[in-house]
Amino acid sequence: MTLEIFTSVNLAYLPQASVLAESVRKYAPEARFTLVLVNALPERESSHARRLESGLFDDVVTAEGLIGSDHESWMFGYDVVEACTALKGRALVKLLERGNPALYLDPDTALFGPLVDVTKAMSSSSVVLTPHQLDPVAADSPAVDEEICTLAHGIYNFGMFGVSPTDEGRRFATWWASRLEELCVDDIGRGLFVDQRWGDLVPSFFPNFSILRHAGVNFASWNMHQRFLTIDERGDYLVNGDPLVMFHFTKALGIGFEIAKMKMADNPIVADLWRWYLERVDFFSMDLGPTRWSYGFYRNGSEILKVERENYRSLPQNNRPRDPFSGMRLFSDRAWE
Amino acid sequence: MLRNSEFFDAKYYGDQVRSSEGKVPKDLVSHYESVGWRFGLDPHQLFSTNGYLAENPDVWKAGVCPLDHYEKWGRAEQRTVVTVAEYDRRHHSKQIIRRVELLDLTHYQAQVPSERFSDVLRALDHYLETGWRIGLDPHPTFSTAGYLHDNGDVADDGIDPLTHFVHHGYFEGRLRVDPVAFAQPGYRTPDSPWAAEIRESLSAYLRHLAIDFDADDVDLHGDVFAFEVQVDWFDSDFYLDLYDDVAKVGIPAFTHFVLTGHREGRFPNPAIRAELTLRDDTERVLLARTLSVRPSDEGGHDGPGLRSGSSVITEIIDRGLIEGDRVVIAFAHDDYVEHVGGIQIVSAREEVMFREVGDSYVSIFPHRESLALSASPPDEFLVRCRIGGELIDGTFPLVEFAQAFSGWFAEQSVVVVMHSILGHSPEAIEVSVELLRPSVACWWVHDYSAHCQNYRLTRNGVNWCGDPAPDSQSCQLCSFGHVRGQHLDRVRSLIDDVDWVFAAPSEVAAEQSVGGHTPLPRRPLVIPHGSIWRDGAARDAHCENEKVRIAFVGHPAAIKGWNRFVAFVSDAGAEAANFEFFHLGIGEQFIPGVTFVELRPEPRGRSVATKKLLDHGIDAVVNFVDGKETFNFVTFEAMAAGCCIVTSSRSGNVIAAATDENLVIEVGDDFSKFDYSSLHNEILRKRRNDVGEFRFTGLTPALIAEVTK
Repeated sequence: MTLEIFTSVNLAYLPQASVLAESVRKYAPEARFTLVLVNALPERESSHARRLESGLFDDVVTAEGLIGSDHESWMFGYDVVEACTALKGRALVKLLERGNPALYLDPDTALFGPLVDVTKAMSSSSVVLTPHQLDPVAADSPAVDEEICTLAHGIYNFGMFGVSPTDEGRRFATWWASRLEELCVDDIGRGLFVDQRWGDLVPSFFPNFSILRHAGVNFASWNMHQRFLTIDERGDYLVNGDPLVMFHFTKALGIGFEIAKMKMADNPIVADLWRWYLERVDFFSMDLGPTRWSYGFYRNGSEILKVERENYRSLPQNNRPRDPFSGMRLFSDRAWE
Repeated sequence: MLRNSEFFDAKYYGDQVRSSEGKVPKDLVSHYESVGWRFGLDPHQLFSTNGYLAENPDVWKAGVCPLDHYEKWGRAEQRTVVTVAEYDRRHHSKQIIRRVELLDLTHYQAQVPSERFSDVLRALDHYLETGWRIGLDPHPTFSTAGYLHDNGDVADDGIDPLTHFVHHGYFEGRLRVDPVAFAQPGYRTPDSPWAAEIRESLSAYLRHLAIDFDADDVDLHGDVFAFEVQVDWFDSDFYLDLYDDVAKVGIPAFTHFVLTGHREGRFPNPAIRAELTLRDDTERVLLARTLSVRPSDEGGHDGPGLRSGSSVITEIIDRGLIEGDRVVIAFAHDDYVEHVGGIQIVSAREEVMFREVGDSYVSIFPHRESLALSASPPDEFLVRCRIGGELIDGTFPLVEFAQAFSGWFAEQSVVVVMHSILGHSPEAIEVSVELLRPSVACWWVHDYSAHCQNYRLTRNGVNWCGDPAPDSQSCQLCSFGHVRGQHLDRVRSLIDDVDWVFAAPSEVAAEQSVGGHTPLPRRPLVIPHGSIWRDGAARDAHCENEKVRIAFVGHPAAIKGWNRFVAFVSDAGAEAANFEFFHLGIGEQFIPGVTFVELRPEPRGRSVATKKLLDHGIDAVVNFVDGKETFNFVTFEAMAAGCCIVTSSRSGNVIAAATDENLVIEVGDDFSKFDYSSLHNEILRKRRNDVGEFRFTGLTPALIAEVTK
């Protein structure tokens, strides 16, 4: 069986996805890497198009390809983050149809070692999850905030999870995709955080799951307080003694880096990873021109506001405008006449 | 009322009176009410007289006994009471001054001839009531008018300057004004000596920080709280956030920086702070950029004129530059006369040693200095050379030179020495060595360039890596990782194809060169460059009240631990009072609190560094390198001067040599956690009074002797 690795991005995140793809080529050369492009295909001969055809990605699947002719109605209800995460469900279902195990990796991650332990876990479980933290902290530790954040945003980080092509795996994929059709939103108050909070239900609904208790997998700023990077005698990285497999450079070009930098004071070797990553992202950004999200604007060019998407989503399906991108503002209940 | 106060402890108070007056009055309460509080004596350990007055300025303005006030009104008004311990702790670095200490009876009496003050308290009462209003000075060093001139807010509030200074100004860093200085024309005007002195020190500090700013743009005048300049290099919020002592007293940040902060080495913005205090080196790692393989030198020749190798040989013959039966051809990475460093010292010394026994010494270095190996085809690789210390004009192909040399000097015995492969073409050297047919080929482990282009073996140029496996994760991610593979292949090909004798100047270097993941084929012979000869001379013993003198010696580079030294100095805080800091080097860095001493080469006698260390009475030299030094001349020169060596366990031959001489003071790998007090004591304990000099004993001549015996 071929491991199907996939990620989901809009064109703005193509540099990050490129870094990920390069690392997949290096450490999982046997895998097939699919890029779910939550964007219209870029113009032929454009820098983005050349990148998609460069050989870094084995497959490129668009939102239209996954959803069909109704993709615009579907996409209008979500902002870019929600859309990129929501489409993961449909992509997962599609990939499992190939009869292969599927591993999702967020575009702002990179592999640093082979996926042996991950694939081993997937061989005996239908769903493999990677929790944000693996150990509790002391009651008086400031890192209790990380646990609170986990409770709000989801116990398991859905920047990395694996699903096997078993009956249960397919059931999970179908169920998850269905929830992401309309409920992949950032609404912490309602208990929703895009695709991720749904994962908290996996242990209840899909018993053939496993939690990958490997410190070197999905190493990120949210667990840097309890996972320490060292270098062994040979020069390889260890995370609490486990080999470094994947690091999650969350929000690398913004607040994520600032947060990580603060935590590097107690985990200084992590600076090696960030140095390399930011340089690679920079490298893969160099020959890409500016871009904008194809689902971010009305046809007249004006930007779609989040509140308009929320208003649209709040309407019953059969009451929604047939062509929401036509430029009709949805500030009032009956803005579309 | 005070007799029943819970804040009057007769025994506690009585002990204070006895220690200050030698006797104890019968009525301690009355004594406190009338006299004691004025002298700043405390009625109870839980009630600080000066603390209550500092917390309640209206009370000291009223001039009433603080405990009296508290019992009558303060308790009901829930006024703040400060314990004695709390008040002492709050101003931990400064002693409490009492107003009576700043009133000189004789000086004040002379200003009021019409009255007779029986004691200092009467005089103080007069000053507080009348004297300050008519400009009388309480003390020869305290100008009433000057203090009010410099502190407009005090003048505006109608407060007497002595009380303000004692209770507030002293702790806020405000200065008392000397009456003589105040009397000078133009006092504290923008043209005054005071202003000129501030501008000069501010300019020097900003220059050191590479901030382009004209200090004349700061309009200095007497009212220290009035001036404020908006500049893009000063971040007030950052300054007040970092320096909460400034924030607490309410001085505008920029004012503090101009008047005081820059003299204390305080940082004007976060970027400069990060740059200067890269203690954990994280920022340096993040800033490192991956090196790419050096492009070919083809067509890129610049500098001295290109000539043929045979023309160089012709000149050598014509000028008789090669003499004797033996010629040493030494490969180095640069011209040892033009540059300063360990390898350069060795080359210079060897040239003299070989010349003294009648041998010729040819130092060959790349025409284009670089850490990267040359990508030129072997027969196009260009070099320059110095023969017998004399620089030969022009640039020439190495292989061509070797070919011509081997033809003309076939009768001479040739010794090839590799001091450094950096910047060379290993392939050109291999062909050349084959042509030269040396009787012995020596490879010195002065650095680790046989293992990586990063000859210091530091990951991302920052942290010691110890020669990891080239395909390891850390090596692959390192900024040198991209070039390492090619560097290794080329250098190892040269190493494998020539029968080298390997030599190292220390056990540390020898062990490291075979202990990593790219070991040399054979363990090097250990031939230390030299040792310390103590000739019975002595330095002065450290005087009891003298501060401990600590120095950084050499080039102020991060790889030599300069940034750590700067942080070491700036973090000393109150402990700095027990130390004096020095930098011995070539260029002054204008670090506040660090005295610069210029090092210039001297022909004979003790090494220049040893002499300067002795001249300035240096007790210890810090060596905060992160990486296994192979030898480190600075350490030996410092130890020859009797200095302790403050270093970490990771410094290689630095800690090894210092341990052998019992002069090591080992600090933890986390340079941020110094125990300055312990360091001070250990330096005093370990420094040596017997001094000597470093003498060269083990260079290539010693190596050849070892190999041929």
